[in-house]
Amino acid sequence: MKACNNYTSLITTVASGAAGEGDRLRLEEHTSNCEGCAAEYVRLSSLLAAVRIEQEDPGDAYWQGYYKQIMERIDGIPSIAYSSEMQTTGSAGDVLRQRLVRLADWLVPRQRWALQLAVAALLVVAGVLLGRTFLSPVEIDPQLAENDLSSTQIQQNALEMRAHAYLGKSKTLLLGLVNFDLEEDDPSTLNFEKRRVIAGDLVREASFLQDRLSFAEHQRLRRLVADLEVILIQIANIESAYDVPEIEIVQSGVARKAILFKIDVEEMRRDDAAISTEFSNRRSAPATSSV
Amino acid sequence: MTEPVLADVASGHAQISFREVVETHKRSIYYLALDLTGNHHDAEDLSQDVFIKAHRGLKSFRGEAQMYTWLRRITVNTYLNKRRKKAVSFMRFFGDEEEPEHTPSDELAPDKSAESGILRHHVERALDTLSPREKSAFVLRHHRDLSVREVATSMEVADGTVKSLLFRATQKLQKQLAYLQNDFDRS
Repeated sequence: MKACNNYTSLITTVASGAAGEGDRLRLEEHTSNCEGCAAEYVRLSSLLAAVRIEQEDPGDAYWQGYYKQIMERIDGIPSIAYSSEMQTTGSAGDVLRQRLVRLADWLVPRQRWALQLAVAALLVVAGVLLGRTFLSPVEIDPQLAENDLSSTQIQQNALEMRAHAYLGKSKTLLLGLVNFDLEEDDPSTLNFEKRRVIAGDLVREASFLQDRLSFAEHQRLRRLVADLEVILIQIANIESAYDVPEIEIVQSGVARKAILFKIDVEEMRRDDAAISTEFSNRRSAPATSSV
Repeated sequence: MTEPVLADVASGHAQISFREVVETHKRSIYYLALDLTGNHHDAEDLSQDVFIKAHRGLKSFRGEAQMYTWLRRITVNTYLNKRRKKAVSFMRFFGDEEEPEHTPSDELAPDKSAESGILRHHVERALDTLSPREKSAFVLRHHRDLSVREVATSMEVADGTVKSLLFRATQKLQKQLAYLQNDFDRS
């Protein structure tokens, strides 16, 4: 008998030791009525118990010499118990090895300090760029004002520019999260509090745009704004940068809906439209007479 | 367990205090290192590195945490740093693949039956497929019986990160060892 599809995750969570009291009670209640899930939970628990390998004791002789080996390493005298990767032959090699070990030990904390400084500098630069991007007003192209366009066309163009500014800001916000390695990267480098605030602002912007993107040619753009809004709401609701499962959900949502790809396509369409407009303007402009 | 009294390194008592630290915790740190590395040689190397670092850091240890908690944190960090360095140096020579763990040594289990030895081998290989952080979280939780909070303290990450690592580790092990499920059910 198989486990219920919608309980396999919960079974893994509880068996892995990652569940809270609520989850455990929920599973207990379910397994009391579901043989399949109860059996699956027992199987997984027994597997995890079996993975617990009994470790062999290296023996009394080993333990008796243990402190001496450590002190020999601290005092710089070679110990015969080194693992193969540390062994060299000859006394000159031993001295060189010890010096290299000491140099590495001296460098590693400083490398870490330098790395932290570099990350901090990068965050400052990113903050300045984000600030310029988000605080900069959307400028109306003065060329539009000079052209003989209807007010509706001007309104439409302004709305599209605002929508593309929204897409650009959302893309900047998402890229940092999408490229975040859940296992290796430190969540504190995400500057999460600022991202949440920005996400909240963009959610409000999305609401404004969806109400006004009513032209037929805006249908695709409107859908993209709506898809982005869902992701931005998720980001705005993440309570902590350490909420790794929530960050995972955001990443999978962006991937599943190909959000970044769609933003890139919209940007390419906008660029193509701008080039076409420029080309048409040049063709219709009066030719300059040559002297 | 009574924690050894720490004294100023400059005084003659420092080595006695450090000796007490080593004698009290050598087995638990060695077995933790063995769980993480999977073989005696690397466990010996790792555990010695831990005590050497502890010796250097002893004068700055103010007793904010228990000694074993502090040593455990050093063990996990040292293990993760070693794996990271190995992965970088492996990539330089061979490309993007992460360097495989050392083949688990059987020299400590000469008296095990062939069947349990094979099972042990498969389990160790399955554990080797976990990332260093997944393996650390799994070992601390399921081999050392630490709570999620204690694992988080040892790894210097948030509880949520530990839960995520445990979930992924369990899923991977389940997949790796699915074909051995009958053997586990029998044992």
